[in-house]
Amino acid sequence: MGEKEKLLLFIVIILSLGLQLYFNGMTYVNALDNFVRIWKEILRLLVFLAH
Amino acid sequence: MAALSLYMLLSLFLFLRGLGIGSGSSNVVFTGMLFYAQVALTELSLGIANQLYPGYLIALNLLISTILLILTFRRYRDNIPDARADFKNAISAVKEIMRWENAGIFIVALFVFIWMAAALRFLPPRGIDDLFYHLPPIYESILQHKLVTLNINEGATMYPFLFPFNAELLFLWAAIFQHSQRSVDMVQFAAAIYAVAVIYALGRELGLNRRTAFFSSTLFLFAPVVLAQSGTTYVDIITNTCYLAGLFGALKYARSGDIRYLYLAGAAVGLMSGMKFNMIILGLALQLFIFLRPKTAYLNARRLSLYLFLCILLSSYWYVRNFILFGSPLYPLGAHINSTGILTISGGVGAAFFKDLLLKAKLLFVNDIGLGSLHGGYGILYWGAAFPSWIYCMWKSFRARQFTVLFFWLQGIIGILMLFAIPYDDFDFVPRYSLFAVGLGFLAFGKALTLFHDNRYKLLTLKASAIGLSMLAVIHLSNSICPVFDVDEAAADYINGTLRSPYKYLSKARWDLPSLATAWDALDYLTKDNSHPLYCYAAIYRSVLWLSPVYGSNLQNRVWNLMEQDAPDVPDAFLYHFSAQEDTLYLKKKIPIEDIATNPDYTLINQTSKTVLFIRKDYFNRENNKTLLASYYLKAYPASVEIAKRQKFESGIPIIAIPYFAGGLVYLQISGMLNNDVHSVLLGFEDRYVRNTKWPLVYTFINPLSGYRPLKVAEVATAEGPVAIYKNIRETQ
Repeated sequence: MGEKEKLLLFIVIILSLGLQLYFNGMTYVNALDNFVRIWKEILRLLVFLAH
Repeated sequence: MAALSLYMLLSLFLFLRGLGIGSGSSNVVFTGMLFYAQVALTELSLGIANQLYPGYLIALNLLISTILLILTFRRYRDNIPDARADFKNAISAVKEIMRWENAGIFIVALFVFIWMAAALRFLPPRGIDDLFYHLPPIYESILQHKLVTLNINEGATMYPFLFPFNAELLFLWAAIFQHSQRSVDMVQFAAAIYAVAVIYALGRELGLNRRTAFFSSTLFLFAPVVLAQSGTTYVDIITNTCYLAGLFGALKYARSGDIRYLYLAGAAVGLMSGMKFNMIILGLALQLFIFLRPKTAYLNARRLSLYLFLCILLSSYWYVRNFILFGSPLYPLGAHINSTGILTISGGVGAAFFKDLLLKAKLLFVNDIGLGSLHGGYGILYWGAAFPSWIYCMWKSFRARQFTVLFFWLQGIIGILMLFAIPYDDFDFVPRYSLFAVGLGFLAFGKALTLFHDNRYKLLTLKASAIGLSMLAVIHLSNSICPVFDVDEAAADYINGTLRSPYKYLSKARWDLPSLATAWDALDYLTKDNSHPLYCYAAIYRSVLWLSPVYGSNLQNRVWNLMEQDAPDVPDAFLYHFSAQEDTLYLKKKIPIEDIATNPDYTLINQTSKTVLFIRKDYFNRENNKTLLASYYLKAYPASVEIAKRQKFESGIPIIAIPYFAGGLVYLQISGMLNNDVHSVLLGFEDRYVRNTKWPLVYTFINPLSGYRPLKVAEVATAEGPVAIYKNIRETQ
């Protein structure tokens, strides 16, 4: 397989990932607060169970 | 259940090793499919014979597995490799797999495993369709010890009860032994892990090394739709996994001509055709692999018959049932199409058709439609990296004239075409139908990764992106609204020792779930120690006819409306759920809420703006139930208990109150701190409730009684403003 072909595939993937992050990235990032809230309690639970 | 399942898996695994079937990964795919076939067939046999008891199910499966083990060690012992050799092989595989990127993905997986375990422990089944039609027939089958078809004459609303139910048989397996619905949510997660094994086997078949095959197959687990659906009793992960297993069997057969792989494909096609009608289309597509087999692989009539026999054996029950009951094996498919427009192209013909297609393509690629729910969301990694890789793999196999491989990749097109055939209005519910395309995409991504093995930085970029985006998908799970994965409140309650019913934790869910969950929570908690079922009447409007939670966590209750026989004349409990926009569906018999709200034999347990729950008063004559009621009000209405403690009532005078105030008063009465009879009554029904009594004095909240002279004795401050308490003195005639 030619190097140009590989490079083209790599560029397409990177561009496509970039576009996806542009379209939907914030939807994911906005979940961070909830994730931290839930995982604080899960970690507290794990510590509780470990004792 | 776990021990029996492990024993069955082990016996099948050794049997297949004895038969000398392929590599370790092939063996795992076969073992999973045959395990599923064994579960389905034993449940179907006992269910049809009206003998669906846990004991018989255990005995029958133990018998089959023991026979398989005896057969293996008697006839095929020499074929089973030395256990030490197997162990060494496994160790070398783990060494090859455990590189930095797989360690990274393993850490991401750890988050998922812990979260799913917590969700399984604390949260109830909480999808939408599962509460409506996937679970109630399964619970009825367990309770009636036979396969139950819920054939309720209510038109299109009830059609889903008549769909094929092979996938639901796995939920039955998870529920029947513990007589509980607590484990059913783990089935799809287990199926997702099995899907990873199948994709791994496919990757190995397509030439990926263990390291890359493991990496790319595990990414399937982190697609947002797979994560969201793993915590539900929908069936899309199960059906698509079956399809992937069938695809593996078909591809292996087409490439090697080994007939055993065709039989594997037959079992998969049979099982998946018995799950959803649309899987028949995918099953038919797999048949084309037969024509791609090597010329040396002779397919005689006997072999073909056995293959077809497997397909029919594992799917036919549901089609025969519908043929006998409704005259059409595909019922209610025809009626369903006419009534809902599913499987029609909404755009019409010409330019509108292409506009429709473009809109759908935009919804998929740009919006990742369904993201944040169990319906869809293939994820950034799929659309960004896996999808272009999949297109590349198709093009490359076409250019190399590898037609079997090309046909394999083309299966993804069928998945996407299936999506495009759904009307625009329903489009956001359907990406889950073609989950297998996500698996194929990640496989293609694995193939793409192998191209960059000589360029460290590109490989590092792609793998690190995959790990990061997988973690992002896990983070996004915390924003999922259907189903919810908020376990923080439950975890805190567990630590504080205030855990109640799992339905309590649906307060953050969407639609009507929080309102209904208030009633489900109380019903489940108050009946949790029941040795005899509580028969509950449910009147709910059509769009949210979610009945499975009424059975309770330990299937301790019965849905009175769904019982054909042995139901008592009068139900023990009544659950009403209303909407201003839709008519309420009164299944079996119409019992209006007015009849119950004014019936002194029933007490109002709780109410929200849309949901009301009543239970017979004599149910609380038993000391244990009375204590539970007090405990429920103390936990669920602590503010009400505090308000009640501050009030002064003259001893012996009955008190009529709505649940917000009655909760605390009932708690005090049961605890012996109040010498008044407390009656929990629906707001606005006070007059009708006391109509047949001769009480000279009655306390009421908010509304004074007509026919009585009201005396305002106190005022309670609430968040909604002050509430008056009246002492009503009966006027003499």
